Amino acid sequence: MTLPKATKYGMVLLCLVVAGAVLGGFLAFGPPQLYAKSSTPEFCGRCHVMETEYEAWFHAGAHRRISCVDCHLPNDTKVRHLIWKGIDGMKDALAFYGGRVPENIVLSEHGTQILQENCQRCHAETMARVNEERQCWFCHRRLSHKRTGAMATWTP
Amino acid sequence: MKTKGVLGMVSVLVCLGLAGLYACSPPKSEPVKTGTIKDGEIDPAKWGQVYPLEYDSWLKTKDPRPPQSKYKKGFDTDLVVWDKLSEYPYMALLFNGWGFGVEYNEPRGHYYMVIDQLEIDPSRLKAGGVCLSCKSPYAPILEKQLGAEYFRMPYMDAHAKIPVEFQKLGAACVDCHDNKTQALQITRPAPIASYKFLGKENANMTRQELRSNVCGQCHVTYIVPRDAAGKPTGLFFPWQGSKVGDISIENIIKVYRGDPANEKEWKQGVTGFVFGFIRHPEYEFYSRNSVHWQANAACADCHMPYKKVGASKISDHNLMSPLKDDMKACQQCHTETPEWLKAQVTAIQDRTVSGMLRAGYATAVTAKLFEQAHKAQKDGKTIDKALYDQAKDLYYEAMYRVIFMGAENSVGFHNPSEAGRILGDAIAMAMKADGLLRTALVKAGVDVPAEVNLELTKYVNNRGVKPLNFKPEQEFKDPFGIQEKLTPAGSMGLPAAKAEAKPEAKPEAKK
Repeated sequence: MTLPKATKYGMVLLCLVVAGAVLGGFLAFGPPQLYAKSSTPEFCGRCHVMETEYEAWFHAGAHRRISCVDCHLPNDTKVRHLIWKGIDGMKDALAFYGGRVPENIVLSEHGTQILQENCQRCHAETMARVNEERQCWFCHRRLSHKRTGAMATWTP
Repeated sequence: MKTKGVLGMVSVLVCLGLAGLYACSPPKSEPVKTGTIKDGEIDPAKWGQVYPLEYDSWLKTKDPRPPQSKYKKGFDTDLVVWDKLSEYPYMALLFNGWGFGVEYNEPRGHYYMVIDQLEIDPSRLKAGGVCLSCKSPYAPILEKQLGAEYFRMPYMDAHAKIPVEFQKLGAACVDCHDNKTQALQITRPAPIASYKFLGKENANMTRQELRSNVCGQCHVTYIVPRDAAGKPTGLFFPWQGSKVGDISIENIIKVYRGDPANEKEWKQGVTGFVFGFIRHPEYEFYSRNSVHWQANAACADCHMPYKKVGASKISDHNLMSPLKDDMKACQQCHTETPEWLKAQVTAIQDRTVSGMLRAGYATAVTAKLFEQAHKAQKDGKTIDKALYDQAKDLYYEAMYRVIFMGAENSVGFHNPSEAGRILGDAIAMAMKADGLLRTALVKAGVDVPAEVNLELTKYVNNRGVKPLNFKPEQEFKDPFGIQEKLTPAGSMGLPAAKAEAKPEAKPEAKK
């Protein structure tokens, strides 16, 4: 039988898509572990402008055992996590390699929303009886990367 | 064709299914509600069945704690009642003539607010049912039921109309919370009306604002306007002309002095002048651009700090000074030790008390000079009217400021620089009035002594029905030792101090 042109192109497209998915999956989840490694603090800390934040996290207390993406990317659904990983990753890469990194790095509006969501996600039970509109770090200041050192300067 | 159609539909369905599985957030966890609170429920125990942790901490306002504050005692484990008229003897002189000059004690926990009213000298309750407005959660109901009569009927009659089981109940859950959502809201009639002067009502207050404003239902100054017969006709806060974060003593005084009905509450015994009165203006004082207000700290952030009870975090409903809670609330933002922080608080309070004594005694001396002027007038001498009127105007201004700072319960901590400003103005005004009166008296041929004897004994002793007397061990002396230069001990006329002086006290110069 002769397949119509559309179906032939459709088949070729399907093959390409499947091949791409397999290759992508191999790269991301196979031996190079690109996906896993790109979720580690060491990866984020690779860009030298992030050194302050990386060192602060490294020396801090409560959140030492979780990684950057646990706070700074949405973790409610896999889909949302991956989408924002892509968007933020590209934004950061472009800013860094384009040399457009500000002297004082602060969270964007969206970044603060994501962060607040993640605070509430892990501390949901504790916060179950509290109805707060303020950002958690408004009071819990020593969580902010640059303020983790505050306690260390005063001795009783 | 058919296969392709089905294949297309199946793949779309599979995609939707995956999207549904992987792209929707997990449901938000909610604590189990053990019951519901019916509308209009006053009994805090019923609220406590649904919110036991907050209820338990609220009940703790009944219990005194070990003493920690240098200037705010009276709710400590030693159960000693601290008499403000002994702490600040000038108040006994200035307030002589009505209830506050009879019995005026340092406050206890919220649990005791109605109980304190039942135990205090009855001269404090002469106004009537209006006195219940900030205390009993039943007051809004009574006000609605009884209308205008509520304000003027004798206090004990109004109190008797509260159901027996709530007759000792102070501010409770219903005063601040919505029973269904626990959202904060202003519930009492006087603040609802008075916040409108600031352009604020429940609908346009953010949650953080409400964390201060629900306290501002009662921790405010208020006016009880009187009719021609001197009977209370209502209750409101003197916030006309003010804005949120800028309710100044100047604006407040303007409201008092602007309408005769607002300035009829009491007659000062020493001068015969009629005044309004300023009570516990914490909200106005704190919100006037104090450093912590500017840092967006609400009343609840310091006085109802979050604490962990088991797995939950709740606002600590055991309202108290952070001094008594080991400065836990302060340490959320301030990294210094509790001792360091307490020392800061005490330093601020020392300076404020010093200022209060200066202003209070300066005003008291001026009051005595008015007494002399009135006596001279009775004896037939003519006192220069212009000087007298100017002195009277300044005296009123100073008097309201002295009352304001005496009534504010933080002894200056809520707004140290504003405290200094208000007290400085009070001192200047009282001293100017003092000078004007002396000029007028000398002009009239009256010999005025350099040191006016305040005759405090007759104001501090034998007060009221109990009767109450001066407690010299409770007097706050000037921490910097300067007041002695201005109103020497010999001119105070205080009852003789106890024989045993404390080791660190300087020996009194006997005149």
